Amino acid sequence: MASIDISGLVKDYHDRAGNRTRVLDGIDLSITGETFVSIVGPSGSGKTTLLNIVSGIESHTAGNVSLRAGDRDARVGYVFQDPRLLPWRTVDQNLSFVQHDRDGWAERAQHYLDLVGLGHLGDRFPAQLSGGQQQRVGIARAFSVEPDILLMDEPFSHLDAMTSRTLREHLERIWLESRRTVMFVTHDVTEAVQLSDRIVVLAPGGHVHETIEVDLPRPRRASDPAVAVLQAEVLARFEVLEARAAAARAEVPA
Amino acid sequence: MTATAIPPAPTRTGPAPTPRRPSRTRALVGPALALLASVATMLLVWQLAVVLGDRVPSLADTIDRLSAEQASGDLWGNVAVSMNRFVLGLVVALVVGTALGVLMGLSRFAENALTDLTMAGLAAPAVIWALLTTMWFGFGWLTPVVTVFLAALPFVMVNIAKAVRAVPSDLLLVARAFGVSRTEVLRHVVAPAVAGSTVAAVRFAIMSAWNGLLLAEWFGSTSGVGWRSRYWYDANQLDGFLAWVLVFIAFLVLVDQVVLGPVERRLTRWRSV
Ligand SMILES: Nc1ncnc2c1ncn2[C@@H]1O[C@H](COP(=O)(O)OP(=O)(O)OP(=O)(O)O)[C@@H](O)[C@H]1O
Ligand SMILES: [Mg+2]
Repeated sequence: MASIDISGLVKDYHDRAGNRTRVLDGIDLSITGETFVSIVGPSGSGKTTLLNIVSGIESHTAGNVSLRAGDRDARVGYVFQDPRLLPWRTVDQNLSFVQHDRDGWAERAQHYLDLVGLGHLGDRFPAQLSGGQQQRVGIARAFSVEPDILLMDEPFSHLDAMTSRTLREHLERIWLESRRTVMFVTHDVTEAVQLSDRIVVLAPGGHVHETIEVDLPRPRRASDPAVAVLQAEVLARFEVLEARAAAARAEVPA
Repeated sequence: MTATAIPPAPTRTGPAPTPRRPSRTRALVGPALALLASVATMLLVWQLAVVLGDRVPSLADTIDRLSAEQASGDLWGNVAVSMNRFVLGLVVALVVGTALGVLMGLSRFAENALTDLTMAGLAAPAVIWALLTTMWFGFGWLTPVVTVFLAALPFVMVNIAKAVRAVPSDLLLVARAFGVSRTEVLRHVVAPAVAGSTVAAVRFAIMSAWNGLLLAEWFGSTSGVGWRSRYWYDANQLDGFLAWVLVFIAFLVLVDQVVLGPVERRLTRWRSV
């Protein structure tokens, strides 16, 4: 069983003049097992930074981050905000590129491409796909390494409302079929409610503002009244936080 | 009812076929047509010059002279000597230029230190190198080889440096997030990213180096294509001179259209699909 353990995580950026900006200020977060956790928070609250540190792309200033799967290091899959495919490789080759385990990768790739509805486009280059199709390749790529831990950074935010709704449904279906430990960053509260078991709200300044458990049956439909009620409630709380963040920004002259 | 023989199922070997890729014959017809067009244009301009000018030998005279050169054993011997010098100088320029170009692409310090020098090198006409090397090395093999090297080097450096800076950092982060090995990253991210610019580098380097070679042999050699052109020039035999200019041009066109063009199209296929 996989787990993410984050304790006392601090991240500072230093500009050229040597000034320090604290982006994450003592994050404690523990995610265990097949849990879908969303990270929401106003823009600039450090969501991407947190995900980058967890994935090992970025270093941190203090604290501990550990990713485990049983008694070994966990394998990570990452879906970025943009597709980030190798433009000079076909869809199949893009999936092949990230595989550790060469055994049976072709079947795995085909399986996840089928799940996102692109099973017939493995020979295409990214330039031959629409933006939504490219993003789906990015999702299939992350799932195809059969990661213990799946990280996703606003994977649908660049897409139109209809495509992102379809992809959300795809994502929930794939996740139900092959459950992973997921950290999903979004600034869309309704999306978070629809997908998550738990919602972690980051506040400006980079600390955890609150944690909301979502205990609704799956698969969830956006039109389900129970979903809608919870969405409205979380949204109301989130708006208070965002208003406070805006006020704080206004007080501090740039 | 139609009865047609069913062809045997093709046996598949090698990598999976990609149906939309143009066939091999079509891939060869394209460059062949381009080559034909450029040759036709050249001949047309030549014919115009023959008609309009009063001291331009006809194509037939020139070809005659070329076959006489071949009969006397002067053609292939000189071409071979030139090719030797050319390949030697170019290979050294590619190796040194790639190393310096990568350095310039990765280090700000190296970039600052070398940019003005390469700009000067790009701007300097090949004749400068030819004259300098003749003064330095006299009539030895070093004169043409060093000229080729100096004429090609700045083009290689500039293009490779540009390519290295253009390796997309977000793709490198993808590789790091998924824990892809260094060699795989070199193969699938860095190499394809620099491939296009590398072909451009080689292409410009070849043109500049071939010019340099001709001039170096003209001023400082007793063999080779450039020397032979001068031989006929000094003898005031225009058809002999033009015969060798023809060899000179034919080489450039052949290399560009038949070798580099298809290589470039193959490497940048993903861009144009
Ligand atoms: N390389 C960097 N150098 C300095 N500051 C940075 C750097 N990267 C991010 N920051 C700052 O860190 C803070 C958090 O950035 P981050 O990208 O994590 O925010 P986010 O929550 O993902 O925002 P968004 O919702 O807009 O994507 C921001 O204030 C940003 O300006
Ligand atoms: Mg972000």
